[in-house]
Amino acid sequence: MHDNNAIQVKDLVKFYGKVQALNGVNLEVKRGEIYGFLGPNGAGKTTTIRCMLDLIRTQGGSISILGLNPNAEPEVIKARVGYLPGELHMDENMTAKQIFRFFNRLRGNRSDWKFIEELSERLKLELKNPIKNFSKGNKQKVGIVVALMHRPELLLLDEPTGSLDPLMQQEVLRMLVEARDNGATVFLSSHIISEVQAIADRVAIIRKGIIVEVVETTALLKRSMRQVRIRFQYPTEAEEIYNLPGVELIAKDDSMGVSLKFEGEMDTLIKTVAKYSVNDFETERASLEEIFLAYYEGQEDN
Amino acid sequence: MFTIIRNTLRKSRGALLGWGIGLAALGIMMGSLFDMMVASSEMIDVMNAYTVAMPELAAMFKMDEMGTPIGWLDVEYFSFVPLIIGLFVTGVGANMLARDEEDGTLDFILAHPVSRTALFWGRFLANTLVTIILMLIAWASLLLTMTWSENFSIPAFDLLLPFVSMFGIMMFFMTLSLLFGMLLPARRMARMLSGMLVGASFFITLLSAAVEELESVADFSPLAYLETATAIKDGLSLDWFGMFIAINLVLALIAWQLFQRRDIRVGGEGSWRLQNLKSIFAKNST
Repeated sequence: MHDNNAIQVKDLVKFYGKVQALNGVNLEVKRGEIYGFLGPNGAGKTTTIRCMLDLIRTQGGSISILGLNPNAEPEVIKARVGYLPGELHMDENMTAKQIFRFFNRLRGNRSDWKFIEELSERLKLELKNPIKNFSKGNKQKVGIVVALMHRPELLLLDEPTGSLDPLMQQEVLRMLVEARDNGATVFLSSHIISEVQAIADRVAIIRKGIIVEVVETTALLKRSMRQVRIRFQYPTEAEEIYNLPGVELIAKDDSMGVSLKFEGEMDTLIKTVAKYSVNDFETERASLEEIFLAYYEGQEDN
Repeated sequence: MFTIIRNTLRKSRGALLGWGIGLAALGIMMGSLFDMMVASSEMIDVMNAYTVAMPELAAMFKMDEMGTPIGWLDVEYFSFVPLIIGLFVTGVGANMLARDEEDGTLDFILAHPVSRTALFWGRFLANTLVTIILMLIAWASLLLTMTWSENFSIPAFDLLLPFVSMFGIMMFFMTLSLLFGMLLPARRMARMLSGMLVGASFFITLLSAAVEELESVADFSPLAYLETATAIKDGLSLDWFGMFIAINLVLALIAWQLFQRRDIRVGGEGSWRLQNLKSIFAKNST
């Protein structure tokens, strides 16, 4: 096991009865990075995280969290980890303040109360109301504060911004980036790709209990397909462009306008387009979501 | 563990208040009724008539002893209070961990630096304390009645002994219900099954005094070992009390092992886990 890895998972296998939820998951998350964990519902994201915290027991493989084995030293790991479950449930009769006090006591009163108040303020959280009166989004905010309040070395977040409004989503993402900047590692499971795209350094894609791709977010976006629209000055048959590797002709608006999909180095395309008289040239990078869907469609086809 | 105990006690306040008020009212009512009964010669005549006309029924309800405070309590109080407290403790046992798991809060708690052992025994100790407090309320309510009653009087320590005997048996039902909660898919099933056992034990013990065929079955009924009038008169049999405490400990240890080795659900009811018993004997479950 490498010490510079916050998480190292090797050949992880988990069955629920006869159903195999994890089929040999391998992950390496470096200390100090934000790592996105993408996959559709039921792919194994939550199961992987719950194995890391020893909430469920594995049938094979090994896990190292901050250099420790979760089966052998779960409490030591949990003291250094902040966790937000995908389905957050708390004692509904307690207020947010009582929840923070309770979990802070479980952590040996390690949290700085001023920091808790600061986090609550940033998330516009009402501390004195019982949880049962909270909306789903406000409950999620309580969970986020509980995960962050002890300044953990590792954050394991399962769908952290799912129920939040767009402004709060941005605030939470800022908090995670700040945590990373202060030395924490963030492991972020999501099926909302935009949040992963916004902050993750690397992304792993899990499908049917197996990691199918691990890639840097920027590389994934860079190498990904773009939508290209060209408006020629005169009616043009630009066969040279259409025949370029990676080009797919989507539509010809008229004899002067075309829409293409392009996957590859932009340099080649730009130099080829420059041979023609062009009025307008627009490119738009596909979102991670489109890449993800394209990736999945490809996998399904195979 | 202290945080867990404190939190569990805090969550039990409402139940303790509700059941405590009910039991206290019952104790005060029973103590006060004794004075009325002793003062009523018609009542004594009715009971004497029962003893002559229906000796089996009179024996079952120990009517010939009802003229004394000990006999009165034995018949009118300790005959059914174990059923009430029994139903309370089966709920406590079934809810101890299974409720949090079904509600989805256990997952979040165990993601914090608290061991499953600390959580289990913290909850167990807190709920044991709640059961003790409930019994002390019942005991204190009877003592309170004695302050104004003319005829109802039993030494405080002697009166405590039936509650000590009851505690051992109630803890048996609580740990059994806890164990069922670890084995069965849903806490309502655990509660129902253990509640049925309390009910069965109650009726078998009660009817075995009149129905000869049930005498041998009553040997397996925990409530048949409840010492009430005999404990007050002759002192508590520590053998049976010790036996129940030992059984409770074994049941709690099995439940603890099952909890240690199980997968914690995200929420909701689970599936049958009888196969988990095997894991107790497995060297390594992971």
